[in-house]
Amino acid sequence: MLSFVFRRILSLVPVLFIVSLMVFSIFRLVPGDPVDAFLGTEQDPEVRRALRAEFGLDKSLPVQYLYWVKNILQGNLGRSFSTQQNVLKLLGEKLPNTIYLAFSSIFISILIAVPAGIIAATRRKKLEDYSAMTFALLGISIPGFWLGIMFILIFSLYLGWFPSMGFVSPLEDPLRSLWYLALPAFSLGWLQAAILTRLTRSSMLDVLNREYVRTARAQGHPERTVIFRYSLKNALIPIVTIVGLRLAALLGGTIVIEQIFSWPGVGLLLLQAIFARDYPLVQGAVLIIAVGFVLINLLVDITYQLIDPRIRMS
Amino acid sequence: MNQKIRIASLQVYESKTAFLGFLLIVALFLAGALGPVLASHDPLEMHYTKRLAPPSKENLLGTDQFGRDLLSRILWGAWRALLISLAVVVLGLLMGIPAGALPGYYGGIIDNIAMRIVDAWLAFPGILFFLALLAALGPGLSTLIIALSVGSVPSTARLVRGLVLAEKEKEYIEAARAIGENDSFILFRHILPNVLSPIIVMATVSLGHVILIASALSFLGLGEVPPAPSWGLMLSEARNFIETSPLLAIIPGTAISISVLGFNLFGDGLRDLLDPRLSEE
Repeated sequence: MLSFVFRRILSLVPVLFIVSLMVFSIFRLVPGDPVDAFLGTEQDPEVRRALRAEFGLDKSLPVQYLYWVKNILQGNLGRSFSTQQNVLKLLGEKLPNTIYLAFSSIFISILIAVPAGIIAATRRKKLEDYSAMTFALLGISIPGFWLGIMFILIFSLYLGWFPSMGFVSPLEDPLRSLWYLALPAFSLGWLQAAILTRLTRSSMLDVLNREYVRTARAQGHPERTVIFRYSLKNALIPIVTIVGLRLAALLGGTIVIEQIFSWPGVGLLLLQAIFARDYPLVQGAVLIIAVGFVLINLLVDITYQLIDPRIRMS
Repeated sequence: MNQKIRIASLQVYESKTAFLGFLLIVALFLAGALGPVLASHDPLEMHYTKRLAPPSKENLLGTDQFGRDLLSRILWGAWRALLISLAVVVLGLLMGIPAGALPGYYGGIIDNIAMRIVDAWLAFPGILFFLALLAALGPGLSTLIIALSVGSVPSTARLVRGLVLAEKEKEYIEAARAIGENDSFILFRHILPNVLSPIIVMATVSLGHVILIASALSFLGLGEVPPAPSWGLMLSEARNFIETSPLLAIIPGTAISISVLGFNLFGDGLRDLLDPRLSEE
């Protein structure tokens, strides 16, 4: 087990290397030069040279890369062009809000998907199954950003049940916070719920056909015991993995939802930074999201091994 | 292969959901191809006297904030969505198939390096890659197509590589080698035609996926630029008028959803028919 964890962590090295190259290239792909974007109409060549030196732009590319990596490893992501604040500090303020939104929407999607998937599998080819599968198909076809807008239209503008945008910290006022969380979390959880419903159904169907389930039935256990005690437990293994992987994917999905609901997370910050041409902040936000994604995948892999010893053996 | 496709098309007709998907795709193609002809108005023509007009005989779905005809813009939007989607998928395949086939066929160190890059690339969330690339290159139709097609390379390469790897071990390939056919002939004339089915399935589903992600990027202001009649842009502009003119938001979103649904249904059906091994449960 330890050697697996070690090997898995070692495999992060090439991944992080390529991620860092990609993030580094953003700065270099910008037409012209980030200094032009920063200075705007300021034309004094002396100021320009000083700034180029400050960003290390007067050195060769490999040197710039090493310099950049060294800074990151020391926790220095640079200063934001637009607010002059420390990028790491700016991101640190917004990250908990994104995590709050992502975890809530995964939680909602599990609440919907696991029962829906179980019902669909146990009532196969019946009305319940077809309705659950229709819901799942709509879930993967309807874009979350449109759904968010429709939720605003229906639940906040017409019915007035929920606020259309904004954020209240759960530490300040938990109830009001949930009220603001509802629409964004549902819009974000929608796609995940659809994917998980399909997966729970096929995973349950797979287990329900196994011999030990047939044996349990033959022994006269009530259907409830067969489903919840014998089948669900084993069907859950792939579901746990996918939940973890979806959580990582959610970090990307939050960008659009945060924008629609003005949710003050890393995604919204990234978009604002892109439009302000605030490249240090763009790099920092992309880096944080990408590294978060890679680390969650790592944790999922390791957890998977812990839950299912059969995989460890092979 | 031809016979396989003929049988498959018969089965598509019999599978209700795949057939529904097929009909939705045909409707989308018709709207896209005939849209520019059918559209009663110029999608860019503004009429300041009839801004945000409700549906009427002249403007069947009403007009937007600049008095442009919504129906005409939706029809032109179908054409743009298809154009982008086809361009992205074709370009993606042109890059992704060699990127997967060559490592799969030759194996060894090329394969090792290529797959490490693919793994690392796939460890990077897709939307983030597009955002970063578009942030650097600036929004626009051509940068959108470039970003999306480049972004599809790693997943295509991984699929193709796996298929080639399995196929090249078969006996007929050994026979072809024994009679002295050269590598590129074996790869492009023997192996690739035989592994096309899963690639077609993936490409079909990708067509819908590209419509979705291109709309999302345009919606965020990083894809197509105004005044293009793009569904994602229309949706983003409609947000400011949602209380007075909800149709402006409802219609483009419905168009995106129906197109994506069509490709998903058809892709699911195709997968079951062309490649039963890959189907769920």
